[in-house]
Amino acid sequence: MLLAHPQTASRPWRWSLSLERALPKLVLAPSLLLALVCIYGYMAWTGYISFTSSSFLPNYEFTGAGQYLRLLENDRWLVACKNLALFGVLFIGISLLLGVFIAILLDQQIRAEGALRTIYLYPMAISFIVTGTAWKWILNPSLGLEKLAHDLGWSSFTFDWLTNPDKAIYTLIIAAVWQSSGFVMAMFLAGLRGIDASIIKAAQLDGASKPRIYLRIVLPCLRPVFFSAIMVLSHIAIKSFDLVTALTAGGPGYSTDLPALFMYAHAFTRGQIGLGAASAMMMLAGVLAILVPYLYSELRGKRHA
Amino acid sequence: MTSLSICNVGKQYHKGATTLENINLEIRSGEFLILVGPSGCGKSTLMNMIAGLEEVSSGQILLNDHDITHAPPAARDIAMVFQSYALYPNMSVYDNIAFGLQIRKWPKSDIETEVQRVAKMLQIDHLLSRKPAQLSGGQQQRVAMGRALARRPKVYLFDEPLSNLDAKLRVEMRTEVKKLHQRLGTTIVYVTHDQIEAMTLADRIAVMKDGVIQQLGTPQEIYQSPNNLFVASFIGSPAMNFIPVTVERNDQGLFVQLSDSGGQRLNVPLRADLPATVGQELILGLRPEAITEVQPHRLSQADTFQGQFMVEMTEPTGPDTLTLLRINQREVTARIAPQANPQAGHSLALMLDASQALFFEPSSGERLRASPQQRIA
Repeated sequence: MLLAHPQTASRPWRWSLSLERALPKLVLAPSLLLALVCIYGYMAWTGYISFTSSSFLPNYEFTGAGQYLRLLENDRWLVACKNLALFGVLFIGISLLLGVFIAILLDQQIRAEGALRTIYLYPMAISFIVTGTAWKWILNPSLGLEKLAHDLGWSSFTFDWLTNPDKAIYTLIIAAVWQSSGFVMAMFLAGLRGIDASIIKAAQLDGASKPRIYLRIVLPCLRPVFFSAIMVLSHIAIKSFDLVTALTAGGPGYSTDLPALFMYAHAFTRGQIGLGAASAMMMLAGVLAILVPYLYSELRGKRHA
Repeated sequence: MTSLSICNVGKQYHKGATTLENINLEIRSGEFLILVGPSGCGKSTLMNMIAGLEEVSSGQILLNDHDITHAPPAARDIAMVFQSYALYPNMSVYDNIAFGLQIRKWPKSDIETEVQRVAKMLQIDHLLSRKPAQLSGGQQQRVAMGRALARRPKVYLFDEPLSNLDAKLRVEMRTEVKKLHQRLGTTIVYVTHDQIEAMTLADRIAVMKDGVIQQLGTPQEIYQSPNNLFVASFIGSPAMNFIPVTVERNDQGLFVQLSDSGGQRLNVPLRADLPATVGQELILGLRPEAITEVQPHRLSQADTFQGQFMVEMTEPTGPDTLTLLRINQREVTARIAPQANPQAGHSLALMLDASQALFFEPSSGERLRASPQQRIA
């Protein structure tokens, strides 16, 4: 009796405790379920489809790596990959350089810094569709820059990159850099603000020039910011679809095709779901190739700290 | 040999605020000068101007009689130790110390020997390959000093270098800074808000307030004969006691009255050479150590008084017990030997050494000083 008494008294308390413990799990369960099915489930499904002979409609007849072999022989896919490499490297490189440069200039305690910061950051608030459309007009030889130069009397001026199959890919880079370098600037500006001002003073007293202070001391301290910026930018590069659609639609011909556009075209408009699925899996592999080493280094870093 | 002269230096900001006005300082070769004052008094601004990190609005700064007022920091041959240490986080300790030398294009072998010399002197030679983040506060402090020492500059500036350390380490490093100065005989300008640091380290102290140097002198001068109420209250811990009094006259001359808790009156005579008049309101300043337990052998000395005081509170510090009591209804701190056993709520016989009393003019805060004409008398 003496033993039973405290047990009964503590039962309601235990109930509420276990409910309290279970509540976070209960609340998170629906979204976890959705993520499991809609992201990882369909990822797996796409993976399976890529090994089938699906064309207009998905079928489940397993054909091995056939779609991948077709993909690698597909000229358009190779162009898309080459474009992605060129676009990715130049877009990330130029955005970083420009973003860091603007951030350093803005960090010199200038007047109206807040207004300038907003101006540079603003393109980020616009969707890639709008950016693409606006730049299509600006770069269009009969509407934009070229026409302006002609109207001003410089009749020999030509700027036809948008319609030139060899140069069209660079218009994508221009538009994407315009949109993203402000974001890079904001990231680096935040990083620069985190650096103790007396470090810079100390370096000045040590006799270092401004460029040298930034190159030898400040920028090396911002290595984590470089990592994050490259992560974000490479994501934008790999998945970029809307910008291409709005600006060049992959054209002229398929000279500005990117993997995401290729995937969409084959899976949904050309009735080659299997091939589209295979290209989607290749893109996933590309993203993972960047993401996994990054996550690995991040998590390892945390364990050390 | 390095001397630093600051002549009529002022600092005005664009918005019209004046932070420094007509600062004049003559820092002798090998001197350890401390700028001390509450935060916002302009001491760090002055130091930054010496370093070349802030523009000088007016006046001149001379280093060995060369005008360096508008020279860039790199051209001044001045090294600085910062409060936050300001070590380069991406570089090893070795590179932190070597950076300034590399920029000055020293030969590699010379850099190596110099870094080793400095590291040995500061006992950080086993840390040279570490990054600053892997060091303790005291070690970082040593590296920051090593970086300054390695360049062998003409003048060293220290900007509150010890205030980020814990109390025990601060005292240790304080001793070490002083030793270093004695060994190297370098010219040092040191900024602090800690008056104990100023008293213990300095050859001379400049007490600053609101952008003006209030007093410049040796620690003893500053402590024993402060120019004004601000210096008197800022230097010394616990602070000097201030008691408002009125000047009266009897047949022995001018005096002021203090009363103990029993209502007994103690007449403190004013020195005859002080320019005071009957009825004048003054502030009497008395250091806590001038109010002690009764020491019979001293009672016979002139200007020593005994009274009964009610103890309101005690703060034992070990060697002394700080005791709160009232003189003229004013709270006053006394420094009493623990053997006298002061206890809150109990009355205690105490001795006042009025020969140490200082008198201040209440409105200006200036100390009453003997005027030369009257001193003859």
